Amino acid sequence: MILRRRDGRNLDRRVADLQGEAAGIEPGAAASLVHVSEPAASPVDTYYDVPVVKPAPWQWYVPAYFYAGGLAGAAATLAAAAELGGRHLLARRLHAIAVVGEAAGAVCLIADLGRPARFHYMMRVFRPTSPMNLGTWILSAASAASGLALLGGLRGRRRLGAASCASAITGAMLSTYTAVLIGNTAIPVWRAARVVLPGWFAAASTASLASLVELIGTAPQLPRGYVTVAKTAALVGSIAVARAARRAGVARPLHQGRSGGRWRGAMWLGLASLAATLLGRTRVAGALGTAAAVAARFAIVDAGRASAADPRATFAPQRARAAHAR
Amino acid sequence: MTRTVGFFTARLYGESGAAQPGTDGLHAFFLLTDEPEVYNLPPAPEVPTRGVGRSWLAAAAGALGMLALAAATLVLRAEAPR
Repeated sequence: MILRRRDGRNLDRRVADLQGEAAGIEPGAAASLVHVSEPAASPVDTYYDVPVVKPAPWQWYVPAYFYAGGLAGAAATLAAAAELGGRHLLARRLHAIAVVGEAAGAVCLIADLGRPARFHYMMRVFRPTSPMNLGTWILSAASAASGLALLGGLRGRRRLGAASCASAITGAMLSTYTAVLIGNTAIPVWRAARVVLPGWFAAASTASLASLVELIGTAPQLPRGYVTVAKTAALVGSIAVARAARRAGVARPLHQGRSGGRWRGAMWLGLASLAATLLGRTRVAGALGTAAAVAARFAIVDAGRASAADPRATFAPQRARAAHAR
Repeated sequence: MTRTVGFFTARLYGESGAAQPGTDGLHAFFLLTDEPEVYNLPPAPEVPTRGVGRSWLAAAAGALGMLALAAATLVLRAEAPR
């Protein structure tokens, strides 16, 4: 079945000639894109502020997947450690979180395809140079492994199994590969941060797991040390991302507009969540931390969109790199 | 030739990998009479997945950090006297 979409991602042949692959641009809107503003002050500044690169045509499913996949990956890694440490109830709960998160992530990814019925085409090739293709394999392997690990736990398995180990390793990759995926694109703010993004994604994933377990609230809880380290690392990581973007001169989407608001909001929520953890207010800390984790994923995707719309963000780092090479 | 007849800022864009570092050439070239930005072309384009290895290394480091944190908090704690 082919789903007809109303959200604008069907190719409209009338505007395809004008703007390339017409990711949802109505004919009227496309015309206004071409004549946007007054001529820029300097003739070599930009071409009438027309964007150079296209934004990723992602709906909310993709940042939701970043959250769910990261959370599931962190749960899988911690579950193996819990099994090794003999905390079987905790391990089972973490494996359940991993299974649910990975399933929700897969649904989000498939829903975001322009033609969901064709999702199995992603599994027809194995291409190490494509983070998106590798990610499909990582998600599939992680889902299978944590499903088996959960089954083993429910059937009363008492020692660390191969499924748990596989689930931990693929889970850790699941939490971080999405950063490689967005970092190696032409979107300036993501590209500028491509070496620090994976570390931040890893930290943000552990923090979202810590917050979710706090929010659920019932025993077994995670050790306080894990929660504190995870939340602190997530804050440090987001500062590192912002610094990398600032150094390249493309940090504006992290300060201004909707993405800037979400980014700052995520920072403050994360800080408040850390404080609540230290004060022992578990439920509050969990709610704040979960809000911070979700806001941060939406903020980074939003920032990419704003960054793509700004031709200066594309030009400036390239000019700097060319000047450096000369 | 173009320059000798008065277009002093004329250039070829995307002619080869050597002229367009960051790419292997664009398999097409454009004769421009001004800076590439004037035509809304990126001045020094780079293949986005170039240097993806450093990102993967960073991802591996992040994944190892997650595993290490998990092991440190649960395995070591279980072995320590309660």
